[in-house]
Amino acid sequence: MKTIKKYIPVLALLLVSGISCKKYVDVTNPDTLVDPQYWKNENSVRTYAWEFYNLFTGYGNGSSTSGDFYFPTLHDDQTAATFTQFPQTTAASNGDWFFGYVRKANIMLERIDQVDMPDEAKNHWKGIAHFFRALQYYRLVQAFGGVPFFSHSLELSDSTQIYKPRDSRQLVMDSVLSDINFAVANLRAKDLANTVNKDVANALKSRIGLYEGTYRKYHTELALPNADKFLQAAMDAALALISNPAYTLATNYQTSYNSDDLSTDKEMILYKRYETGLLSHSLIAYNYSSTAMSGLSKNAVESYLATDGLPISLSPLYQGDADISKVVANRDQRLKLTIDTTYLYYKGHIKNSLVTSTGYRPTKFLPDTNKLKTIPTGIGTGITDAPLFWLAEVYLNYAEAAAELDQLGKYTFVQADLDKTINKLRARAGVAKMIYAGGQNVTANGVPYVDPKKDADVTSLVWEIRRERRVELMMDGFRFQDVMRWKKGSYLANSTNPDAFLGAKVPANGSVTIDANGYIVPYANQRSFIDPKYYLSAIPTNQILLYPASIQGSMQNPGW
Amino acid sequence: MVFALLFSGFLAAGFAGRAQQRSISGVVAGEDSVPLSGVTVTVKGTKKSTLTNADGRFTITAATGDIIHLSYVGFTAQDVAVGTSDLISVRLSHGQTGSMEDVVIVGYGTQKKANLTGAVSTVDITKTFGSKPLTDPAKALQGVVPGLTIQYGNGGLTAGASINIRGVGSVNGSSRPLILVDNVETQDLTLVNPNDIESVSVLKDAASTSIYGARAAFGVVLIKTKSGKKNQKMTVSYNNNFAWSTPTSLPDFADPVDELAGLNEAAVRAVLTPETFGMNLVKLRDGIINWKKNYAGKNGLEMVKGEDWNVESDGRTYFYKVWDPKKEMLNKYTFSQQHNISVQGGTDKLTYYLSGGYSHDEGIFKMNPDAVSKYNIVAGINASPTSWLDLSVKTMYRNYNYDYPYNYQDYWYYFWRWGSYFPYGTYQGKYFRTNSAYLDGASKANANDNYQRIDLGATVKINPHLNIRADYSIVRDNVLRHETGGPIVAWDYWTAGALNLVDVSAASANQTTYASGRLKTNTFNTYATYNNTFASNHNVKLTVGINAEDDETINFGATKAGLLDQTQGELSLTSGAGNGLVYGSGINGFFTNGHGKRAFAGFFGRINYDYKGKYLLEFNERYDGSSYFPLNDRWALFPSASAGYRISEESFMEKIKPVISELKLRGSYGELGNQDLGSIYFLRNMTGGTVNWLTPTGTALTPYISQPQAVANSLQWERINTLDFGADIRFLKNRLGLSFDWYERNTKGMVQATSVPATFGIAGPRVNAGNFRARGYELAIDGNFPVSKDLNLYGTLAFTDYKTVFTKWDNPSFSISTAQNYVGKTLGEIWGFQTAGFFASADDVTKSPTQTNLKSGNFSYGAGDIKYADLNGDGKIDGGKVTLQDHGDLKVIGNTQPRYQYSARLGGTWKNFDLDVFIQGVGKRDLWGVGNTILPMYQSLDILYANQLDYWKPDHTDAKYPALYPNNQSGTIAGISSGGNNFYPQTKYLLHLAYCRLKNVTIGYTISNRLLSRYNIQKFRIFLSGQNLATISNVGAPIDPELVDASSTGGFTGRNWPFNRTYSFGVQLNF
Repeated sequence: MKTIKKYIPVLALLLVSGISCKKYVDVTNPDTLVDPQYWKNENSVRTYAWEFYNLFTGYGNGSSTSGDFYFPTLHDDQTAATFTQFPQTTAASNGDWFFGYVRKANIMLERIDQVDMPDEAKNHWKGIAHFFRALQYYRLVQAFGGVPFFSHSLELSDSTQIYKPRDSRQLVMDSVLSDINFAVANLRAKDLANTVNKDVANALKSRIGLYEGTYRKYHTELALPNADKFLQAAMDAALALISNPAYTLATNYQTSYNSDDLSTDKEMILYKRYETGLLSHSLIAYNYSSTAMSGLSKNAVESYLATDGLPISLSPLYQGDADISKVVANRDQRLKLTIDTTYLYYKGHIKNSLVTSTGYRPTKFLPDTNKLKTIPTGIGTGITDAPLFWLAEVYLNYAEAAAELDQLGKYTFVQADLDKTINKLRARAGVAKMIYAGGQNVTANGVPYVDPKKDADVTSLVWEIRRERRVELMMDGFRFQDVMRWKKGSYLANSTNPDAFLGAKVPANGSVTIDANGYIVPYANQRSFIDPKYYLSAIPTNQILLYPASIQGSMQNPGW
Repeated sequence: MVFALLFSGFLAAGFAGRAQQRSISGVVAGEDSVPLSGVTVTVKGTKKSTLTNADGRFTITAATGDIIHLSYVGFTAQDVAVGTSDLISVRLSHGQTGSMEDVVIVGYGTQKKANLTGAVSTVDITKTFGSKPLTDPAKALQGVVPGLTIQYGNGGLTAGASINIRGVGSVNGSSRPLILVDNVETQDLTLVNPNDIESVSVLKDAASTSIYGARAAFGVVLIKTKSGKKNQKMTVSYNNNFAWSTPTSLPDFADPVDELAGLNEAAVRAVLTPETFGMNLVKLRDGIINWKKNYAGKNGLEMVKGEDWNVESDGRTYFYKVWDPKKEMLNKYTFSQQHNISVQGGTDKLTYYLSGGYSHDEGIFKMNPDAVSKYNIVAGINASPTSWLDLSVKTMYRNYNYDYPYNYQDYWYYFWRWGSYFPYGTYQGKYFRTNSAYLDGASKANANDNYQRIDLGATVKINPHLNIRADYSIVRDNVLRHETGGPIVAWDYWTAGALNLVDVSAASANQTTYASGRLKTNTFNTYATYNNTFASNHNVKLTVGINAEDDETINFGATKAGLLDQTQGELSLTSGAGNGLVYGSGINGFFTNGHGKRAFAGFFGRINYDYKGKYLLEFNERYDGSSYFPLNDRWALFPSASAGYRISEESFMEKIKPVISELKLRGSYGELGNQDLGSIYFLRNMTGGTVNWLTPTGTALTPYISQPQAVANSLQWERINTLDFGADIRFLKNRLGLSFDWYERNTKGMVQATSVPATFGIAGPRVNAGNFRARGYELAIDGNFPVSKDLNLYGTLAFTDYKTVFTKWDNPSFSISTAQNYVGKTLGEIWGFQTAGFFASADDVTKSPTQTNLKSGNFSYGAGDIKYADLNGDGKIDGGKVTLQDHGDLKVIGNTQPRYQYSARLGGTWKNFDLDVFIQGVGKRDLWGVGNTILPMYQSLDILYANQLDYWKPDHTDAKYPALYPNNQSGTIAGISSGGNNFYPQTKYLLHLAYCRLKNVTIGYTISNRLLSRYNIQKFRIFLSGQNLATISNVGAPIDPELVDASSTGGFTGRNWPFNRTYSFGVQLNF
């Protein structure tokens, strides 16, 4: 008995350690953040949300050539240095089929209410989540049409949601509009410098509204309703910015594209900042090195008006295209700020080892010659800031939406609509005003005119607004989607738009192919546009295969 | 100094009270009654010692109750208690490795070998670790235990062992066994000085390991370190080892004249500019021919312009001198040494073991060679203050210091990248931009690790049947790494124009880094053992206990750019902008940080029952918890059972006992959980990164936190079931033994990522989805043959083989891509083409099945190129859909897993000589090796080695290699191993890693005790030992069959630290 007593402490110890054992293993790595405990304060929400900014490509990152500006190759403004064809086969995978930010935004929406912060902040951050969910879905719809729409984050157990078929384009874009409306209503007027706020949301809303409104109007084969609702949204959102005195047009067209600091530029609503050693791009490098540049097409160069506001085929001021100085004489100032006005760079006619596909060398993004001596021009060293949302585009969104609404009979277009938008851009570009003559007709310099090149199914007003959009936003990455929403795939085919596949008029030199009229033919390849197939990308087949066989058949886009 | 003080303390303790002394005489003989002379006779606990004479007789003074210890080389030592008689007669038996009376260390206890029912192997410590020039115990264990696979991927000083028991147990994690040193997890065996090891047990089946729970899913290696023995005279041992190592196998550089002809041929064929670094290959070759004629042997390290090199009319720098790069860059032999000293002994109440070890190894590079120094200290004391209590304290300390040159580039990759005409010399005392310049100019980086561990233990004997053991260990492992780069000024010939003396280091090398890691581990075990015999035949042993372990790691590193002085690489002495460090990366400096915590715990129990030592039963159970799993799946129960039947104990076996002395059949089944999934998958982790967006202040990239990873509702332990059948047989009075095990191990619920559509928004969560099954067997044979009084021979043989096949995997398309598994796949399989031969002509290409789908770049198949076999007869060579249903002409050409692993040990003693020979090998193993060292011109116009000059030419069509063509890294078939054009994975160039290696030979000579006794030396042995002395292999490339680690740059096979052959000698002294 005595011995037993002696061991009571030992036995007790055994017992106690046994009981505490179960809790003993409940540890986690202190350096790991875990949902949902993560959501503590506004800073945690803000830090989480920063990742969305990767959606803003701008001029690209580092040595990447995937910037929004200059780099896109499938449109009619530039003939790419190497010929780009529509995909001929259905791809197994496609990086655009990406829903990561949708889930990210949904989780954010599901957590914000538990975060300890004022309602004002909660509303703002919910607005941010809605803003980026709208942006991601807008891009998905641009590429693929209708996609599965998720308003909440999925768990593995939600198999009916995970494997649900595509939602209609109408449903997804209506949701996008409601998301962006939420953002406009709830975002702060001002958050930290150069971050998404109410104004940025309005800019995106005008962009999305115009896109979807015109898409629904022109893609009649889809029989989509409510084009006017989107166009009205575009107008409303644009007007909010146009009438906001905080934003004014910069004096010089080019400063939006070649400044190393856009922070004081009052035209900017949101821009992407680049700084040496931290974040830089390669846009300047590709316009300043021996890599063949994607030059402007003949078709693009000819779309610029003469200073009298008339198309070159009608303007007495136009001097022809015998040489580059004639091409740019008496033309829209923006042409002179977009291409090299002194020299045509093409094979066999190379200067400073620079060469382009068409002869017309893009210079829009280059700082002026003096500045180029000091700022870096190497691959991955560019530090000029990239515009993301800026007033010029908002003006163009407004004018186009107004003109289209007028056509739909939902609005009466007036001269003031031009004067507060396009004519401001024209004034900056040294081009005579566009005057609305009623009935969707226009005059310039007192001359009523119809551009002989105008498409028969487009009114003069819309035609001239689209021209204005094209020249103002030349190489800014809008053109392909503009062509898609106008249902003008024919612009991208050799047979229907041969000038988009030609360059400058040059003398024969043996190194470059020229056509019978002396225009550079950058490549012999032919591109045709298959309607409706090419209006949407193929759904990647690897993804379709993951779905139940019963819905696989209905998942692919027409023509693929 | 501290040592000396401690030692003298223990010396004093050795002299306790003495009883009445009287003279005892005796005779010692062997089992065959032949008297043994020279047997050491000592009285335990005293300094008294003598030797037997030629008739085997001795006389010594002792008192009643003293223990007389008799020891003799090759025989099992024996203790005899002094009774009332003054005469003692003793028979010594030969030392035996497999005696059934041996006690084997098992989980939380010991077991007589005879009563083992699980698959447990033990290691003969003296033969495995003794006298070898090895400081890493894992190296010595390689091949020793059947089923324990130990592999090294390269021969570098810091190369770590890959250790598996019965092969890969899961596609996740490392499948490493749980390695316990004195009951504390010690994954890095280099922490232990081989000289301190007392015993090694390898627990292989679930029944033996389940008491250790989750971390023991793939077996357990139990290592016990030495401690003093009660009533043992103090022994001081010293041994040393001096060793010289040289690479086993290195490729040979080619004569540049032939090499450049080949490079030029390839350049012309590929329509490339025939140049390297701007040197026109033809012009270069002519220059080298000229050099050989006029300047060979003329100049030394300093290269003379106009002779050894020149800037030629094309503005490029040309190098003509032909070097022996191995001589310039590598030491022929590297030196290492080790010294060990230990003191042990004990009285009735107190035992002690103290040891100190030192070793130093040097690397092979001539300039700034790397070096490892290690100091090991073990000190242990056991005290028995009362009859019912034992207390123990043991401390282990290891200091590890690794010096190495700052890593400007992957030195091995670049050493093998260029031919022997590249400039190894200097001009105006400065090196050219080569490995030489970087290695010579590098400052020494350093990693210093202090591992310290204290074990406290107590055993309480409550009564003769019940005792309780409790022990607690704390481990601290702190490492500090310091690396400093800096400029390397050398002649840069890489660009056109004038040769420039410039800083050729990367901007990122202009930095200094301090990085520290701290590990703290607490381990607590307590268990009670109850042991009793009922009705004289029913033996019962019961063990229950608790095991708990937690650890914490903290890593912190800081890097600062802009060194002020390369020789003073301190964070404070830099000019890097002072606007703060950023996490992860940054141009001015950055920091890294990690903080991890883990905890494991388990309740365990075991019942052993046997009836008359004939029928054996064992049950184990462990209820285990691990922080690696979600709260609701954190705890799980793992049971196991085993049984044995000692047929030899049956009465009907009595007659054949002289032939079969022992026969035991045993079987076991059990389940264990594997928690080593490689990462934590159950938490909705949110990780950090930076956005391509500047902070509002514009001073850094904006940090963000990602969306949480997706997690399934349940994530459980991978379950490992093992079924094991075994037999142990001993023949001829224990002289010959055989042990056999067959097993099947099913790994169920292996964790795999679910494939969800991208619309899910993140990668699919991990779930328990896949299964695979390993089947294998192990065979061990040992023998002991005392031939005569002077000659004793022994031998062991071990053989093992296993194969692992997937039985379940979520891969609906049955893709055979290397990243995928499918049902029916054998783990490790390599898919490739069957090589049909070389195309004889262009016509042959046209007439053969078309290979146009295979070519990349400008390449097109022609005469001398590889013709692949059209296995599916469809007239074209391709990989189909790279699925099991449609794999075109691909087939399984080999397997990366080692098969038919074997070892053999032969040895014996003759008079005072001892010899031990150890052979180890692998019967089959394949590797698809890539890189220029294996496949000629795999990468650009770099180099051709001597063996690669055997390439196809119109007048040499029975060549080993095809017609030359550069750049064959990538093929057109996605999912299979690397290689394109002529070098798709294929049968012809598959590497065969089978080998048979004379791993070790040790010869020792023990100087006769008679000579030494007057100096109080008990034993003086000198020995010679050689490691990796000879190898039989046919790899197919000039690399060692064990060199499977690719270079860190490019992933090139063969460009890594070579394996070594080592010659050593040393002495062993016991006082």
